[in-house]
Amino acid sequence: MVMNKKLLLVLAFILSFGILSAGQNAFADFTQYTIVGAIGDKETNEKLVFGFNETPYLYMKLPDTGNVFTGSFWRDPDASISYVSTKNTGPEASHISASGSGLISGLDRWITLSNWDTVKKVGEWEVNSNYFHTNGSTGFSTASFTVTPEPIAMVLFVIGGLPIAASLYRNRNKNAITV
Amino acid sequence: MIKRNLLTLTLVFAAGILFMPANASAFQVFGFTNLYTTDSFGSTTPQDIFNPEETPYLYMSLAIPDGAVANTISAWNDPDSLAYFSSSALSTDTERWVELSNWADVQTSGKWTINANYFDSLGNNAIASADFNVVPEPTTMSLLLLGGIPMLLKRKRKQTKNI
Repeated sequence: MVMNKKLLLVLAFILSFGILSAGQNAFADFTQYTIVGAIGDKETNEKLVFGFNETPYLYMKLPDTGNVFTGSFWRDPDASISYVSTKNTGPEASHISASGSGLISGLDRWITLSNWDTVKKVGEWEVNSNYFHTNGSTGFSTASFTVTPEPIAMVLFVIGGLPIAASLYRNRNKNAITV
Repeated sequence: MIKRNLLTLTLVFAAGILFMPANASAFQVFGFTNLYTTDSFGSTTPQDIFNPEETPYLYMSLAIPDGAVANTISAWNDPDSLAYFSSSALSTDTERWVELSNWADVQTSGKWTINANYFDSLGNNAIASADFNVVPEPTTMSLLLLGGIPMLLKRKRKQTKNI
């Protein structure tokens, strides 16, 4: 009975926390927010794994027309950060910051790091972004993707590692017989 | 017994709400701690009325998590609801000032609303807003009055003559 009461108290506190959090974080998300393999009007299908020689793009579909700014933090497997922003100030005027490249087309934006080939690393990446409309509305989303090593690197690793493994195995057997 | 338990639950619920921080991330508030307009870069004296010869600056005071960098940007909405983005700033600076680079071209008398956004590398996202007014120059008002009074007098004399 005492245990049930304590449990109820904890649950009530957690519930109040959750309800208020939900209320205060009620920004509208991006309509679509995903990592894709290329840019262009038809490139909106999610891709989660990239080879070392592929380029990941962040695709964002905004919920509103108008003048909108977006900011994206790209976090690499070692937690280093790169930042790319986009802005449009009218039908003809759009801009991607120098650290990024991509395409802005109406509500759709594709971006990647302009120095991707320099900073790419094997492992899990995370991209956190927000949008900000001149009328004050804002939203936030996050996505992750993985970069895998080049196939040839894996093959070389295995080829190079086999003789060493074989040698270790032979030495172990030799020592066993001696004993 | 049931009533007592219900009362306890209600009190705990209320306590949870009362002690809830504004930003529910990790019980700490990150984002804007202050946002208002001033008359110059580096000033922290609030000013919300400007004449056309003055340049308003937006002052932002920020709470940024340790190890994070934060981007801020603002949208300046004029009395006719035309909006202009300021430049954005990405840094660890907790005090920032920004102006509209094209203020001289776009300044209009009336009430302006600035919406500002904070977004940091740990995913904290916040907005805030501030208003200010641009009033006509005193000289302009004086000239308007000086030019208008003779016209009003002439009109009145004409009306009196007609009667």
